[in-house]
Amino acid sequence: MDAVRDNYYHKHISEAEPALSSMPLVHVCDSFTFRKIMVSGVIAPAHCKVFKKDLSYFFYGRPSYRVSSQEQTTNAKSMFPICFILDPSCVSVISDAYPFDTGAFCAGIFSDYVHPKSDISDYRFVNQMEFIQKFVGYFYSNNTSYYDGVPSITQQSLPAMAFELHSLHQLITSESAEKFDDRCHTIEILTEQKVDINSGVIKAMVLPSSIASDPEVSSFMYDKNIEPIAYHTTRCAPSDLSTTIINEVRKYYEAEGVVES
Amino acid sequence: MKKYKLYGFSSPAHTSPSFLTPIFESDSDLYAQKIDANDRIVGFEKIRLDSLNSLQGSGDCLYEVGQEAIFGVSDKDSEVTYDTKNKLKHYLRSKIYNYIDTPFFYRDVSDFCNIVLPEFYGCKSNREYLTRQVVSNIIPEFVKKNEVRIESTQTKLKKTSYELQLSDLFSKVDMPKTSLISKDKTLYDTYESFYQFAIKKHERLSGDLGFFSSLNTAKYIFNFLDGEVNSDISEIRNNLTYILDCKLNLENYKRKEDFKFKVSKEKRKYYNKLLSKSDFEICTHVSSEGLSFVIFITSRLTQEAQNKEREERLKHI
Repeated sequence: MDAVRDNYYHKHISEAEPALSSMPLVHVCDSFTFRKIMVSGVIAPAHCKVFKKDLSYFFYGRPSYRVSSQEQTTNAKSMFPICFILDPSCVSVISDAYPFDTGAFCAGIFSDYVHPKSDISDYRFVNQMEFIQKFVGYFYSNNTSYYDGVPSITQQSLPAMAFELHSLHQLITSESAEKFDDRCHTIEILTEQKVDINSGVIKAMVLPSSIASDPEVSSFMYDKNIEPIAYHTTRCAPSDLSTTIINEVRKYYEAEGVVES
Repeated sequence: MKKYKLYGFSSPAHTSPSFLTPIFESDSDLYAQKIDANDRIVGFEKIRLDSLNSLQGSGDCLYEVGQEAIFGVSDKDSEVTYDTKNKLKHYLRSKIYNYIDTPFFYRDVSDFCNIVLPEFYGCKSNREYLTRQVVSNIIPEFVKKNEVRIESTQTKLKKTSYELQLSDLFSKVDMPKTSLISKDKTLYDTYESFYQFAIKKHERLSGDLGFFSSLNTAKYIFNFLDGEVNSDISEIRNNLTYILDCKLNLENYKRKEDFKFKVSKEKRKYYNKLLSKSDFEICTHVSSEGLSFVIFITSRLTQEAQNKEREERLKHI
């Protein structure tokens, strides 16, 4: 119901002060897909099982990817992920945006925190970057708290009938949030368009050291003035790696003034 | 306690040297180890792998929580080498010089073993390692184009045999002199050719401060060394490393006028003139960043020339 969503979800967010600046977008892939992106020069939409159409996925600010859950185990993609950190202007048309990982929602991972009759579309954002900034402003006050997953708004100050906002708050602050890792509080942005990576939109790349050592990959990064964020693969449990990547990207954001130290 | 069988190893890259992730199996499920600060296994995390890039059957090795964790590495010499951290350190320490052509992997090894090679002194940021990597990528093509090669000659003894001391016998008599030769006349000319070659390949290198300062540093150092010491390449590396060491000590010294170069008798023979030319004249001509880059490029040229020579030799067998 669009009217319900407008009144009890969008309205409260739209009235908020936006976070001062928009954060970079993050696209996560494995080394096999990365090779295709590097050679073709585009992040191309691929078939999405959730929405049943071709889409490219981006995360807002955070290098989020599935680490582990009770239902699903870590796959190869999460073992050695490669993340592109892109200028937010690279996605000119946002098809959809959601406050969490839609794949995790549809897999029922958040089911304890959302109404059984709720649908993923109940959580859909207005597909504008400004709306996303307003959501960050409303829920977290600033980009730093969003990155760290620490909401500044209290449950009590949320409108009583804004059930979606209550669900999101519980998801983020729940003591068992580690079950969902950071997918419960990372905004997802989808587009049906191809994203051209040859126009200087890649700001940084997070990748395993051994991939960064590849002559073609290193030349690609150097010539395009991309900041390499190479991570160690010596300590290798995927959950350890996730922490490493989040910390390394945070350091980069601090240096770039995206978040505060 | 539940036991986990070592099943194989997974790597982020197929061919580049890299650290490997040991994969364990228990009840038909696959796991990665979770490691604490003391490098002991504190748990096993269930994983699902679509494919294992590097696999090796590992017999009946069983592991459990509380045991020392295992670490694996893949390099040109061996697809899989694994052991506990302390034992793997020995292997990597002996190999670390071989990894200078892959600076990001070198950095992992350097952190793992707590060793820093002079080729990377002062290299801190990811961007600095990326510059080293890009420069390293160009070396093979340059070595081929400029016919950079290794030439070995037996050192001629200046002393008559009865004047030789035992230390001379060990250090000099049987040591062939290994020189780096190319189409260019001197080592500095080779360096300058490489600089021009590199900025043609990657225009951005001309604006890279570290790389640019290495050209000035090479000019000063190589012009001086050419006349003062022989051109044995390992000796040149030692010379450059020694100067870099002095330079770094000097930079860290609060009162430069109080700084005294601690030179051994052997070193003094080569460096006295250079280091005492006039007060700290050397410091005005070379930067530690530039000097480290010169060592890196010199070592990479040597490494690549040696690789080429090895390949040539194999062809003739």
